[in-house]
Amino acid sequence: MEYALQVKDLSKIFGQQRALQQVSFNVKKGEIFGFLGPSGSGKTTTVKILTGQLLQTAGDVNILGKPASKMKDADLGKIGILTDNSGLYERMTVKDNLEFYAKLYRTPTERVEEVLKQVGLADEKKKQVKKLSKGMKQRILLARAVLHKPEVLFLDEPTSALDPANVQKMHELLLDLNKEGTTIFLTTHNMEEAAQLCDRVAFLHEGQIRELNSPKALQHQYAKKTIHIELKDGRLETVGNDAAGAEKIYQYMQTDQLLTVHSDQPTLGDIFIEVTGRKLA
Amino acid sequence: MNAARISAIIVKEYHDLKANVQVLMMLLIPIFLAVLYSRMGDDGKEFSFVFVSLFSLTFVTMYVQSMLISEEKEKNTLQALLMSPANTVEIMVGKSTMTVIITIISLVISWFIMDIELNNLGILLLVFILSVVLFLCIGTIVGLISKNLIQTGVYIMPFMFLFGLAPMIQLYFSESWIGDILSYSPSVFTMDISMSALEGSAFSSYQTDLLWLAGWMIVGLIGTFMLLKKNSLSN
Repeated sequence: MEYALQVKDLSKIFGQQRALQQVSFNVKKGEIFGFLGPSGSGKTTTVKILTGQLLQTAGDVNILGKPASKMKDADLGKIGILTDNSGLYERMTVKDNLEFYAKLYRTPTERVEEVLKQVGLADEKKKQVKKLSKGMKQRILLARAVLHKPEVLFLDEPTSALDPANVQKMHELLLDLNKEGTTIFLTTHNMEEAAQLCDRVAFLHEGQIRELNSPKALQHQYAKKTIHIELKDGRLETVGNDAAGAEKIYQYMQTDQLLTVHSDQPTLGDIFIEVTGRKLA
Repeated sequence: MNAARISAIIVKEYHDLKANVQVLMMLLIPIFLAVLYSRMGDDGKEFSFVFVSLFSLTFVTMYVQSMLISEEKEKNTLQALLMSPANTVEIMVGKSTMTVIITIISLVISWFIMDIELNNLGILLLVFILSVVLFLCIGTIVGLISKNLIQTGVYIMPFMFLFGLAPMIQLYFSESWIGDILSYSPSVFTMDISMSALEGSAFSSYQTDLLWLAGWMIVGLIGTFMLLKKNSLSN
């Protein structure tokens, strides 16, 4: 098995505060891995350590087989980063900003036009960045992060400032990149986004991983094994997801009383609350 | 070092600087001083020229560089640069080139205005190179240790006076211990060597000062690269 990221017993202490405690996980090459947790849970600290911007207190972190803290300039060309504190050259145009990074990463400048179309900013390319909205700037930052088709892409809340239509566009862009082989490490508050994009998710709470699996497996694991039914006379009933429950549903169907049937599958948000005892806000 | 990356950073600086009014205004300070001094007659013309050159090194090289670095830090673009495949030397060379070009423009215009005959051009160029590199380093260090542009504007002041304009302060404290300490300031060495060279003095009379200035430059370079390395880590 080839891993893009290998994290073992990672701990980080800031003064007296333990930000991360013995966090361990691996991310396979080509995987979209979601890192979910409320503010202050240690997500951004993890991203900073993984990208070599912060040194861990203890533990091993490897990115593409090399220790993150020892990444050389050539290794940095293999990763793309979008964090909540990424910035742009505000006095320059959108196109000049991206062309600058294309040259730094030795990427053909034609790629700039391609990415601008993908993020829906082709018509804004000659505008100064300072004249654009927050959502547009977020799209430029994403365009910059994916410009050089990185092997590993780190995204810290990439769609937080975007409207639903642009979120959908961003998801398509990320899925296309992933199809081409890019491994994506995504932190998000958005449970729907995680369920839609991620192959596996980890729940981070108070600096520790509390759960790690695929969204489907977690939904099965935390499913309540019950089925909700609604009858035509307005009554609501809950039956077991077993032979007795099936018999009862069959009876209602035969007597033409059944209106709807719903399985009791939890969302990732429900599971997070059950695991950590708090909401993802 | 990769020339394409350095040239990309230089082009970026050009695009960014042409819309930066604050920086362009700084270019005018030494030129304005040159116009004033050129109207004061020929007495002490060489001294005035070196004085204007020090203003150029202080207000253009040191101040502008500190602002450019600080802005990169404040707008969170420095981190993206440090996280790119460009190495520290490429970033420093690329980011400093436009500042050097602006410094050269201000010095050349001042020289034309003041109409100075440049004796010992080789020594003057050497002093210019050592001083520019040192003042770029000081500007970079101040930009890196400040959290934002406002803080840079405050932090740069003592550096401008103690490192850039020390010969002017020294004039008022020539008999006291303050004057003795200031005599080790790099700008005092820049001033003394330039004056000696312009007056046609023998090399032996200022070779020790040249070594001091080179020493300051090496200290500046080491400090700058250590701080840049530290800034690539956000803890």
